[in-house]
Order: sequence, then C-alpha cells, then structure tokens
Amino acid sequence: MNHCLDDRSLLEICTGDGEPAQRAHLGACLTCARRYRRIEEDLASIVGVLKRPPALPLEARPAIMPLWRWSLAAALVIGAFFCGRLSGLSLSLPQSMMASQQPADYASRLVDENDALADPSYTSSMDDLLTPVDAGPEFTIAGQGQD
Amino acid sequence: MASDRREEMAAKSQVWSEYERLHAAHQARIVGLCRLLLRDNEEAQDVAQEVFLRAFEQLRTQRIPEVWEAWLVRVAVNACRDRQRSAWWKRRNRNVEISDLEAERGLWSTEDQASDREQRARIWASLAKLRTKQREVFVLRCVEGWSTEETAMFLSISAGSVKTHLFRAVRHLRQTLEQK
Repeated sequence: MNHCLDDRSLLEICTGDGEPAQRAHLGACLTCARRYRRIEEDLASIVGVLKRPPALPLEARPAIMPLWRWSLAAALVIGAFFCGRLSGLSLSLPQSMMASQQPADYASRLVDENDALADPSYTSSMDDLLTPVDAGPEFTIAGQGQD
Repeated sequence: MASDRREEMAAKSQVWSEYERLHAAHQARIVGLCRLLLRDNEEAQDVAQEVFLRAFEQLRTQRIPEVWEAWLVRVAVNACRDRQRSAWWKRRNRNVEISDLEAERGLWSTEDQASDREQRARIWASLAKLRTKQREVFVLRCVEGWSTEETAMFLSISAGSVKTHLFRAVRHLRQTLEQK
C-alpha cells in the first residue's frame, strides 16, 4: 500500500500546516522528500520574484492603442484637414471675387430698398411720425389745470 | 481657555506623531501588498494612501485597533478589492493582456539578467491570471507570511478554504515555472 503524501499535504507541510504523522512520513520517504524539495524550491523562486521591488513603476496598461482608436483618430485628423481646407479657401478669396460671388437677387434687393427710401410718400410718412405730440389729444390729471 | 487650547494642540500633535510612526513602520509593506494584489505600482501607492488616510481617521477619533498591522492589512485587502470591483478598473483591464513584452517594460529592475526576465514575466502573468481569492491567499500566506488562521480572518473565510485556495494558486504558479 502506498502511503506517499499528495501535493496538497506536501504544500501544507511546506507552509507549516502539516500534521506530525505527515512530517514523520516525509522524514522516512525519499520520494516524498524529493517532491517536497521541489515544491519548496518552486515556492522560494516564485516568492523571490514577487518580493523583488520593481525599478520602474509597475503597469499593466496596454502597450499600444487598439487599432480602432488609431483608425478613428486618423479619420478625425483627415476630416479636420479637409474641413480646414474648404473653409480656408472661401476665406482666402480676394474681396472683388467675394463681391462677384454674391447672389444677383441680393444686389437687386439692395437697389429696391434704396428706391424705397428715396420715395416721396415714404419720406412724408416718416414726417408724420416725427410730428410733435401736442397735435394729439391732451391728457390732464384730474383736479389739476381746470379753473 | 488657554489651557483647553493647549490640551487640544497637544492631542493633535500626539495624533500626528503616532500617525507618522505608523506610516514609517508599515507604509512599505502595505504598498508591497497592494502592488501584488493590484499588479500596478501607481494604483498600489494610491490605495495605500487611502488605507493610511483611514488609519489617520481611526487615530483622530480614538478608535485604536488592537493590532495595527492586522488592521492595515485587512483594510488594504478590502480597498484593493473595491478598486478591482470598480467599473473603471474592469474597463481598464479589458484591453490588458500581460504579455511578456509588457511585463518586461514595467516590472524588472535593471540588474535583472535577460534569462531571468522571461521567468519573472511568466510568474507575474501567472499571478495576474489567478482568481482574486487565490491571489489574496497566496500573497498573504506565502509572500507576506501570515498564518492560515490570520489569513482566514483577514479574508473572512475558513481555514480550510485558505488551504484549498493556496493549493490551487501554488499549483497554477508551479505549472508556469514548468513551462520552461
């Protein structure tokens, strides 16, 4: 019958939780002692690695931006570039070209408004508006100004 | 009136001196613990600062625990859990795969040999892949050196659970070492 200890029991001995009977077996069994030594060595090297302080700050952030983010950023930059070019084109046009590009109905509307201002009936209506208020009905305060 | 003020000042200075003593004695260990649980040095510093802020509150309100070290470990473990539970942390870690290259970028000191780096990268990556409880048990039990009963108390689980989590964690980590 095989009384050899399993890995869990060997680990318990290794971490100080083993039973005296298990320890006694470990002292007598060469196979278990060998396995125990391997666990002990592995644990020591793992703990040694984890205990060593890092020289640089630890970080588990992605090393590079995901591809879709790069694509989005590139699309935005290209879009902004074209938008900038189009708006820059209209702004950089000479004044004479800008004037010639104004719509024809806008020019005709300016002429109409000018004519309307020069119209005599329009000026007379404006004169009516500017006439003094004394031409209108008088407002008096009750009990005052009546002899 | 003046004596009251003097007493108040004395009490404040006592709290500060006690806090400074506590900070000097335990800060490095708490940062180290948080670093292992979070696998991120900056976050570890941040969480450790939270822990010591709580410790200061305890001192200020005269709620002194029996054993400061145990209290700090318990609060640090809980603070790390809270941090890992946050939506921000999950979102942040969704895109993270700790590859050897990434680990190499941040984990190693300059004196490490190139051959050593690969193994260290594997161990850190393996630690990151452990379940939270397994990682906590392994760190507290094997790295920090707390007993099974103390670890069980910190994590509010039974001693048997500690042993089971520890066995699974060690098995996982040893498999990593065997993949040479």
